[in-house]
Amino acid sequence: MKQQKLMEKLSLWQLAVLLFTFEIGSVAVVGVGNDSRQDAWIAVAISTLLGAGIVSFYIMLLKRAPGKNLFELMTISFGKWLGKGIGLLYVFYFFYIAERVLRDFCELITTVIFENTPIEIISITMMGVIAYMIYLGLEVFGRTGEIFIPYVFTFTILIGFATFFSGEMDFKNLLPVMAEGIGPIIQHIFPRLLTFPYGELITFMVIIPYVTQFKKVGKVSVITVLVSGMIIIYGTVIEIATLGTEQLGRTVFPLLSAARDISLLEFIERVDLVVVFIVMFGIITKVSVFFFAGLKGLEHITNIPYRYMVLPMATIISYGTILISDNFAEHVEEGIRFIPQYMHVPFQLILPALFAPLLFWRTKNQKKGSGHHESK
Amino acid sequence: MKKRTLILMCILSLTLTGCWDSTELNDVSIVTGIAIDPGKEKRYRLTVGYVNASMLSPQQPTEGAPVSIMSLEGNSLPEISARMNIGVSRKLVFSHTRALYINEEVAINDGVGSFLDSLERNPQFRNDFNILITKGDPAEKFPTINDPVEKVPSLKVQKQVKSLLEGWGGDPRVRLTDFIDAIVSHGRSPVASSVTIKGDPEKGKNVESNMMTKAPARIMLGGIAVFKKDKLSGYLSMEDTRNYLWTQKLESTMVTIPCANHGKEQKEKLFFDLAITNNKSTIKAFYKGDQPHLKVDIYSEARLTSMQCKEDLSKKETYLDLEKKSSKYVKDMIVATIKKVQNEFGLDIFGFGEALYRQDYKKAKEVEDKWNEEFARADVDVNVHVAIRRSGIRGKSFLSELPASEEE
Repeated sequence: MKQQKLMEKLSLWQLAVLLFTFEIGSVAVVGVGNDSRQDAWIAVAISTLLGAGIVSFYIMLLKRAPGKNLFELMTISFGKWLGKGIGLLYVFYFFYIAERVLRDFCELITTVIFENTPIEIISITMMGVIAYMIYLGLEVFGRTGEIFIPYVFTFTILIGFATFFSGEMDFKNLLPVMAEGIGPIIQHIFPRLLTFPYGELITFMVIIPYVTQFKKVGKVSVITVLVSGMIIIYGTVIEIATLGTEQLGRTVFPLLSAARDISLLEFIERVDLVVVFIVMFGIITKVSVFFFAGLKGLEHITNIPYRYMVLPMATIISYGTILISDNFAEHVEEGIRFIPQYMHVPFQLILPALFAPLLFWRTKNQKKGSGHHESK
Repeated sequence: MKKRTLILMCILSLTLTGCWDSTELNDVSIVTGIAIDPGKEKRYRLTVGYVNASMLSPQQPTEGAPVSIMSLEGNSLPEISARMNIGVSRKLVFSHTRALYINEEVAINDGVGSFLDSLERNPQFRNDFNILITKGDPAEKFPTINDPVEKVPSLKVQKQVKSLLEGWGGDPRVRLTDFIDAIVSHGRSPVASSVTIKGDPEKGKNVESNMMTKAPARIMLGGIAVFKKDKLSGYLSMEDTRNYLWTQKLESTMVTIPCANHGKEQKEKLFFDLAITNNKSTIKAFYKGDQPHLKVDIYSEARLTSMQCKEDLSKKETYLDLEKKSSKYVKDMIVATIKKVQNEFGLDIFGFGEALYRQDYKKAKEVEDKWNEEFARADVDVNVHVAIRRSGIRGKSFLSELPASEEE
């Protein structure tokens, strides 16, 4: 098994690409929310910095035991049985979030493009693509990201320019800045913005160990998080300036609504499908990362190679996507009220904070040993 | 192995069978105009005008009417449009709607809110059609008035609105989302354009009317319709509409300004013309003690296009003098419009409340529920600076060479 793991390698650039698309994926569908109204971009900016902090914390944990992923770290710190038990919780968490993310996308498609197509068909076909990609392995996944990133990046940037030159943006919508003080911004950041999309990067604790140049991982991840944070700020400013806070509060898919207003020279119009493309790729990346992380967890717990479990788990996820909520309102409400507090915060912040001291204590001797080894 | 692949392919092909959302082009009709009237028995009477596509083909245009209309009664727009196929052969597609005509009776009695929601909710509708309030004739007549230049009536109206907005500024530039935002907003009241039919709508319905040089019926743009929340409360004249737009975002317009008094009547005065080419306006609202103040700063660049008086346009002093006169004239005009809106409607269509919200958030929160009363009693202060830059391809007017006989 050790052999098999070593075969798969991810380059630093591929890691950056995956991180980037992971970050902007869901945000492009459902937006960052309207809690802090016209100051949402400030909230995003602050949480990006905090997010960079969280990522460096995760990477610091990984560096304690190079080559070990999240689940192996937990076994190290909690012991075999407790570690596996908590690992199983993480597996459920990852699969559940994968279902939620996929549901976001399915809702977008069924409302905007395929109104009469059953939502099951969309979730099954999407999951089919993802399962195939993950079955072929992490390297394939990384390369897929590499191929699509130029389009995703340029389209995202171009949407902003196109809305601007269509004259649809009104930067007055960003005023007044911090009218009600910092209070609403902090409430928006914690727990919502900090956990979605930044805290979700805990899944990368499963992927980062496969990166070839492990030493530079920290730097690359932090920079990528900052860059993607800027893109999210950019998107948020587009949304606020184009739609205004009132409309932003009513709209279900903000970036899509903003892109619908694009009309350049009465020639470049109806470009909302470009947004759907960005969203589709973002979602594929995001679901794949969660899916892969969950599978790796199962592999660690059951000692069966994860490839055997790709198809069954993919089936469960594509079905669970439909099952998790009866209607869109329920789906969104869970996402705002329940998930951040009772799922994101414990899994992304509390548990890692709990096992960090244990991990430091357990790896203390090893670290010294390896240091000794290096000096030799 | 081969067998297994074959079976897998067969199973996978099952997922590709249905294409639920496929629509062929020859199965749909494109709707360009929608008209909403009060229903007799049910809530609304919806009229759709859809394009006869083969008539518009550039290669082989067929004879016939460019659009066809169909009316039905019902309680909500989606319900009626779903039932339209009672009389229409093809599936109606609304994504290219150009004009939404709302009968003023609906707007006065019922309010427009209840059907605007269905338009905003439906992903088919884009944010690019004009909302027009129809005065006089019922709204269902409007999608039928033919025009020889633009074959499709609703396209004609949209182009007309756009050209007027670019050339003179008589349309508030309001789209669906702007309108809804203004309904929700505490600091701005919604406005929309209004239209009337000049002539006989029965004759305008005929395609033969396209053969006449003087159209028997014509859709004319009126001034803006002012709304209180989602209910219509009155109209402003075309002049006032332009002045309203001057405080918002005016592209270009034309004003005639008297340069010399020869009598009290407008007919007896002499005028000069300014084409306003560039315009910048900022609006502010603030409180001095307890008294609300509204402030508009306008900076306009202009080009002189006609001169009926004898002033010498080759001199700098003349320019300064004309600038002063025109600034004063424009200022009085705009102040009069704002005062009129304050007194007649008491509704803040200019967005002063939103300006206050941006500039003094605490005060805005305080007065948010009674803003329209505050607006009505506010002091108005308008600063206009008109800068005349050039005067066409002539300097001095030939009129100034004439002997000054009539003038003493």
